[in-house]
Amino acid sequence: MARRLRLNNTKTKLLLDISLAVAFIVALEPQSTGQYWHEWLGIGFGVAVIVHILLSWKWVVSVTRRFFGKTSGQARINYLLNLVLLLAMGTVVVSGLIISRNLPIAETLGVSSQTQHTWEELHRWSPQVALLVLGVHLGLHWKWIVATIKRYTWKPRRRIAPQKALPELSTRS
Amino acid sequence: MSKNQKSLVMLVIVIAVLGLSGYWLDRTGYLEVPRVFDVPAVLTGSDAGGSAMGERPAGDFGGQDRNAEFEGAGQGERPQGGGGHEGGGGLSERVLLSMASDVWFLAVTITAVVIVMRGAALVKAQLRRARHPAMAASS
Repeated sequence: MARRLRLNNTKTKLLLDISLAVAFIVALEPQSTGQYWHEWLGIGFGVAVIVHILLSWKWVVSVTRRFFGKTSGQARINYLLNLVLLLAMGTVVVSGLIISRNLPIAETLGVSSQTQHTWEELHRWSPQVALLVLGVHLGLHWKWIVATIKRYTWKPRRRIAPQKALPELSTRS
Repeated sequence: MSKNQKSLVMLVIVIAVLGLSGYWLDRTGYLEVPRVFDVPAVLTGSDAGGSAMGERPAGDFGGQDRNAEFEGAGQGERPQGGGGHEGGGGLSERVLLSMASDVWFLAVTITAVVIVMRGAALVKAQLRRARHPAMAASS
Protein backbone atom coordinates (compact mmCIF):
# COMPACT_ATOMS: atom_id res chain seq x y z
CA MET A 1 0.00 0.00 0.00
CA ALA A 2 1.37 3.39 -0.92
CA ARG A 3 2.30 5.59 2.03
CA ARG A 4 0.27 8.77 2.17
CA LEU A 5 2.23 11.95 2.65
CA ARG A 6 0.77 13.46 5.81
CA LEU A 7 1.08 17.21 5.99
CA ASN A 8 0.10 19.21 9.02
CA ASN A 9 0.10 22.98 9.23
CA THR A 10 3.67 23.25 10.57
CA LYS A 11 5.08 20.84 7.98
CA THR A 12 3.28 22.70 5.18
CA LYS A 13 4.64 26.00 6.48
CA LEU A 14 8.18 24.65 6.64
CA LEU A 15 8.08 23.15 3.13
CA LEU A 16 6.52 26.32 1.73
CA ASP A 17 9.09 28.53 3.47
CA ILE A 18 12.02 26.47 2.16
CA SER A 19 10.53 26.61 -1.36
CA LEU A 20 10.02 30.38 -1.03
CA ALA A 21 13.62 30.96 0.06
CA VAL A 22 15.00 28.81 -2.78
CA ALA A 23 12.68 30.46 -5.34
CA PHE A 24 13.72 33.92 -4.14
CA ILE A 25 17.43 33.13 -4.48
CA VAL A 26 16.90 31.64 -7.95
CA ALA A 27 14.74 34.61 -9.01
CA LEU A 28 17.47 37.02 -7.87
CA GLU A 29 19.59 35.69 -10.75
CA PRO A 30 17.31 35.82 -13.81
CA GLN A 31 20.09 34.41 -16.00
CA SER A 32 19.77 31.09 -14.20
CA THR A 33 16.28 30.43 -15.53
CA GLY A 34 15.99 32.77 -18.50
CA GLN A 35 13.51 35.62 -18.85
CA TYR A 36 10.43 33.48 -19.55
CA TRP A 37 10.76 31.20 -16.53
CA HIS A 38 11.95 34.10 -14.36
CA GLU A 39 8.59 35.78 -14.90
CA TRP A 40 6.57 32.64 -14.17
CA LEU A 41 8.72 31.93 -11.13
CA GLY A 42 7.91 35.45 -9.93
CA ILE A 43 4.17 34.90 -10.37
CA GLY A 44 4.37 31.57 -8.53
CA PHE A 45 6.40 33.26 -5.82
CA GLY A 46 3.71 35.93 -5.39
CA VAL A 47 1.02 33.26 -4.99
CA ALA A 48 3.20 31.33 -2.51
CA VAL A 49 3.74 34.51 -0.44
CA ILE A 50 -0.05 34.94 -0.20
CA VAL A 51 -0.40 31.29 0.95
CA HIS A 52 2.42 31.86 3.48
CA ILE A 53 0.52 34.83 4.94
CA LEU A 54 -2.78 32.91 4.98
CA LEU A 55 -1.13 30.07 6.91
CA SER A 56 -0.17 32.60 9.61
CA TRP A 57 -3.44 34.52 9.36
CA LYS A 58 -4.42 33.85 12.99
CA TRP A 59 -1.19 35.50 14.18
CA VAL A 60 -1.69 38.43 11.79
CA VAL A 61 -5.23 39.05 13.06
CA SER A 62 -4.35 38.69 16.75
CA VAL A 63 -1.31 41.03 16.59
CA THR A 64 -3.23 43.56 14.48
CA ARG A 65 -5.94 43.67 17.16
CA ARG A 66 -3.50 43.96 20.05
CA PHE A 67 -0.86 46.09 18.33
CA PHE A 68 -1.60 49.24 20.35
CA GLY A 69 -2.75 47.25 23.36
CA LYS A 70 -1.19 44.48 25.43
CA THR A 71 1.37 42.62 23.33
CA SER A 72 5.07 41.89 23.53
CA GLY A 73 7.66 44.20 22.03
CA GLN A 74 9.05 41.35 19.95
CA ALA A 75 5.64 40.69 18.40
CA ARG A 76 5.40 44.38 17.48
CA ILE A 77 8.88 44.39 15.90
CA ASN A 78 8.03 41.17 14.04
CA TYR A 79 4.78 42.68 12.81
CA LEU A 80 6.43 45.87 11.50
CA LEU A 81 9.25 43.92 9.90
CA ASN A 82 6.79 41.56 8.22
CA LEU A 83 4.91 44.58 6.92
CA VAL A 84 8.12 45.99 5.38
CA LEU A 85 8.90 42.57 3.91
CA LEU A 86 5.40 42.32 2.46
CA LEU A 87 5.79 45.77 0.90
CA ALA A 88 9.19 44.89 -0.56
CA MET A 89 8.00 41.52 -1.92
CA GLY A 90 4.80 43.13 -3.21
CA THR A 91 6.87 45.77 -5.02
CA VAL A 92 9.09 43.06 -6.53
CA VAL A 93 6.11 41.09 -7.86
CA VAL A 94 4.01 44.07 -9.03
CA SER A 95 6.93 45.86 -10.71
CA GLY A 96 7.93 42.56 -12.32
CA LEU A 97 4.41 42.13 -13.69
CA ILE A 98 4.40 45.68 -15.08
CA ILE A 99 7.76 45.36 -16.84
CA SER A 100 6.99 41.81 -18.00
CA ARG A 101 8.10 41.02 -21.54
CA ASN A 102 5.82 38.02 -21.91
CA LEU A 103 2.63 39.38 -20.39
CA PRO A 104 1.14 42.52 -22.01
CA ILE A 105 0.30 44.10 -18.63
CA ALA A 106 2.00 47.47 -19.29
CA GLU A 107 0.13 47.83 -22.58
CA THR A 108 -3.16 46.84 -20.95
CA LEU A 109 -2.69 49.36 -18.13
CA GLY A 110 -1.42 52.03 -20.54
CA VAL A 111 1.89 52.52 -18.72
CA SER A 112 4.10 55.08 -20.49
CA SER A 113 7.73 54.28 -21.25
CA GLN A 114 8.89 56.92 -18.73
CA THR A 115 6.77 55.33 -15.98
CA GLN A 116 7.99 51.94 -17.08
CA HIS A 117 11.58 53.08 -16.53
CA THR A 118 10.64 53.94 -12.93
CA TRP A 119 9.10 50.47 -12.51
CA GLU A 120 12.25 48.89 -13.91
CA GLU A 121 14.36 50.86 -11.43
CA LEU A 122 12.01 49.74 -8.65
CA HIS A 123 12.35 46.13 -9.83
CA ARG A 124 16.15 46.44 -9.49
CA TRP A 125 16.00 48.02 -6.04
CA SER A 126 13.20 46.19 -4.26
CA PRO A 127 14.79 42.68 -4.37
CA GLN A 128 17.89 44.10 -2.66
CA VAL A 129 15.77 45.56 0.13
CA ALA A 130 13.75 42.33 0.28
CA LEU A 131 16.97 40.29 0.58
CA LEU A 132 18.07 42.32 3.58
CA VAL A 133 14.66 42.23 5.29
CA LEU A 134 14.28 38.53 4.47
CA GLY A 135 17.56 37.88 6.28
CA VAL A 136 16.28 39.70 9.36
CA HIS A 137 12.92 37.86 9.09
CA LEU A 138 14.67 34.47 8.90
CA GLY A 139 17.01 35.46 11.75
CA LEU A 140 14.07 36.36 13.99
CA HIS A 141 12.40 33.01 13.20
CA TRP A 142 15.63 30.98 13.30
CA LYS A 143 14.70 29.16 16.53
CA TRP A 144 11.42 28.00 14.96
CA ILE A 145 13.14 26.94 11.73
CA VAL A 146 15.81 24.89 13.53
CA ALA A 147 13.31 23.35 15.98
CA THR A 148 10.87 22.39 13.21
CA ILE A 149 13.57 20.89 10.99
CA LYS A 150 14.87 18.92 14.00
CA ARG A 151 11.36 17.74 14.84
CA TYR A 152 10.66 16.42 11.37
CA THR A 153 14.09 15.05 10.51
CA TRP A 154 15.80 13.76 13.66
CA LYS A 155 12.96 13.24 16.14
CA PRO A 156 10.99 10.64 14.13
CA ARG A 157 14.10 8.44 14.04
CA ARG A 158 14.63 8.91 17.78
CA ARG A 159 11.06 7.80 18.50
CA ILE A 160 11.81 4.36 17.02
CA ALA A 161 14.80 3.72 19.30
CA PRO A 162 12.99 3.60 22.69
CA GLN A 163 10.44 1.10 21.30
CA LYS A 164 13.25 -1.35 20.55
CA ALA A 165 14.63 -0.85 24.04
CA LEU A 166 11.23 -1.44 25.68
CA PRO A 167 11.43 -5.25 26.26
CA GLU A 168 14.77 -4.86 28.04
CA LEU A 169 13.27 -2.30 30.40
CA SER A 170 10.25 -4.48 31.17
CA THR A 171 12.39 -7.51 32.13
CA ARG A 172 14.29 -5.44 34.65
CA SER A 173 11.24 -4.40 36.65
CA MET B 1 29.90 19.81 26.69
CA SER B 2 27.32 22.22 28.07
CA LYS B 3 24.67 23.86 25.92
CA ASN B 4 26.40 27.25 26.14
CA GLN B 5 29.74 25.78 25.08
CA LYS B 6 28.07 24.01 22.15
CA SER B 7 26.46 27.30 21.06
CA LEU B 8 29.80 29.09 21.30
CA VAL B 9 31.59 26.42 19.23
CA MET B 10 28.79 26.54 16.65
CA LEU B 11 29.04 30.34 16.52
CA VAL B 12 32.80 30.20 15.95
CA ILE B 13 32.34 27.61 13.18
CA VAL B 14 29.60 29.67 11.47
CA ILE B 15 31.66 32.88 11.62
CA ALA B 16 34.74 31.05 10.31
CA VAL B 17 32.78 29.50 7.42
CA LEU B 18 31.17 32.83 6.53
CA GLY B 19 34.48 34.66 6.81
CA LEU B 20 36.36 32.17 4.63
CA SER B 21 33.59 31.91 2.02
CA GLY B 22 33.26 35.71 1.96
CA TYR B 23 37.01 36.08 1.51
CA TRP B 24 36.99 33.51 -1.29
CA LEU B 25 33.99 35.13 -3.03
CA ASP B 26 35.68 38.52 -2.74
CA ARG B 27 38.90 37.13 -4.21
CA THR B 28 37.05 35.66 -7.17
CA GLY B 29 35.46 39.09 -7.71
CA TYR B 30 31.91 37.75 -7.53
CA LEU B 31 31.02 39.12 -4.12
CA GLU B 32 28.42 41.65 -5.10
CA VAL B 33 27.42 44.11 -2.42
CA PRO B 34 23.63 44.53 -2.56
CA ARG B 35 22.67 48.08 -3.50
CA VAL B 36 21.11 48.71 -0.08
CA PHE B 37 24.55 48.26 1.50
CA ASP B 38 26.20 50.48 -1.09
CA VAL B 39 25.91 53.63 1.04
CA PRO B 40 28.17 55.96 -1.01
CA ALA B 41 26.15 55.30 -4.15
CA VAL B 42 22.88 55.83 -2.30
CA LEU B 43 24.07 59.13 -0.79
CA THR B 44 25.49 60.53 -4.02
CA GLY B 45 22.66 59.13 -6.10
CA SER B 46 25.18 57.65 -8.51
CA ASP B 47 24.21 54.35 -10.06
CA ALA B 48 27.76 53.19 -10.61
CA GLY B 49 28.27 52.84 -6.89
CA GLY B 50 31.14 50.44 -6.86
CA SER B 51 31.83 47.73 -4.43
CA ALA B 52 32.43 48.43 -0.77
CA MET B 53 34.88 45.55 -0.87
CA GLY B 54 37.17 47.29 -3.33
CA GLU B 55 37.63 47.33 -7.06
CA ARG B 56 36.47 44.39 -9.04
CA PRO B 57 38.79 42.70 -11.50
CA ALA B 58 38.53 43.69 -15.14
CA GLY B 59 35.78 41.93 -17.00
CA ASP B 60 34.09 41.23 -13.75
CA PHE B 61 30.40 40.55 -13.47
CA GLY B 62 29.36 43.59 -11.47
CA GLY B 63 25.87 44.78 -10.73
CA GLN B 64 25.73 47.16 -13.66
CA ASP B 65 27.06 44.56 -16.06
CA ARG B 66 24.60 42.07 -14.79
CA ASN B 67 21.66 44.39 -15.31
CA ALA B 68 22.91 45.58 -18.66
CA GLU B 69 23.41 42.05 -19.88
CA PHE B 70 19.93 41.01 -18.98
CA GLU B 71 18.06 44.20 -19.67
CA GLY B 72 19.45 44.58 -23.15
CA ALA B 73 19.24 48.25 -24.18
CA GLY B 74 18.85 49.54 -20.63
CA GLN B 75 17.41 53.01 -19.81
CA GLY B 76 13.88 51.70 -19.87
CA GLU B 77 13.98 50.39 -23.38
CA ARG B 78 13.02 46.84 -23.96
CA PRO B 79 15.26 44.69 -26.07
CA GLN B 80 14.04 44.13 -29.58
CA GLY B 81 12.09 41.02 -30.28
CA GLY B 82 10.86 40.81 -26.73
CA GLY B 83 8.54 38.06 -25.66
CA GLY B 84 8.75 34.35 -26.11
CA HIS B 85 11.54 32.33 -24.54
CA GLU B 86 14.19 35.01 -24.85
CA GLY B 87 17.25 35.04 -22.63
CA GLY B 88 17.53 31.31 -22.18
CA GLY B 89 18.77 30.40 -18.72
CA GLY B 90 21.61 28.25 -17.59
CA LEU B 91 23.80 27.68 -14.59
CA SER B 92 27.12 29.07 -15.74
CA GLU B 93 29.98 29.61 -13.33
CA ARG B 94 29.25 33.31 -12.91
CA VAL B 95 25.53 32.75 -12.36
CA LEU B 96 26.32 30.19 -9.66
CA LEU B 97 28.86 32.51 -8.03
CA SER B 98 26.42 35.45 -8.13
CA MET B 99 23.84 33.19 -6.51
CA ALA B 100 26.40 32.16 -3.89
CA SER B 101 27.03 35.85 -3.22
CA ASP B 102 23.29 36.40 -2.56
CA VAL B 103 23.15 33.35 -0.29
CA TRP B 104 26.25 34.63 1.52
CA PHE B 105 24.61 37.99 2.24
CA LEU B 106 21.47 36.24 3.42
CA ALA B 107 23.51 33.99 5.72
CA VAL B 108 25.47 36.96 7.12
CA THR B 109 22.24 38.86 7.85
CA ILE B 110 20.67 35.81 9.55
CA THR B 111 23.80 35.23 11.65
CA ALA B 112 23.98 38.88 12.69
CA VAL B 113 20.31 38.86 13.74
CA VAL B 114 20.67 35.58 15.64
CA ILE B 115 23.75 36.91 17.49
CA VAL B 116 21.96 40.16 18.39
CA MET B 117 18.87 38.25 19.59
CA ARG B 118 20.94 35.82 21.70
CA GLY B 119 22.92 38.74 23.12
CA ALA B 120 19.75 40.62 23.99
CA ALA B 121 18.32 37.49 25.66
CA LEU B 122 21.51 37.05 27.71
CA VAL B 123 21.52 40.71 28.81
CA LYS B 124 17.82 40.43 29.72
CA ALA B 125 18.47 37.31 31.80
CA GLN B 126 21.41 38.97 33.58
CA LEU B 127 19.33 42.04 34.37
CA ARG B 128 16.52 39.84 35.70
CA ARG B 129 19.00 37.98 37.89
CA ALA B 130 20.41 41.26 39.18
CA ARG B 131 16.94 42.56 40.02
CA HIS B 132 15.71 39.36 41.65
CA PRO B 133 18.76 37.56 43.12
CA ALA B 134 16.58 35.37 45.34
CA MET B 135 14.67 33.97 42.37
CA ALA B 136 17.89 33.30 40.48
CA ALA B 137 19.34 31.41 43.46
CA SER B 138 16.26 29.20 43.82
CA SER B 139 16.25 28.30 40.11
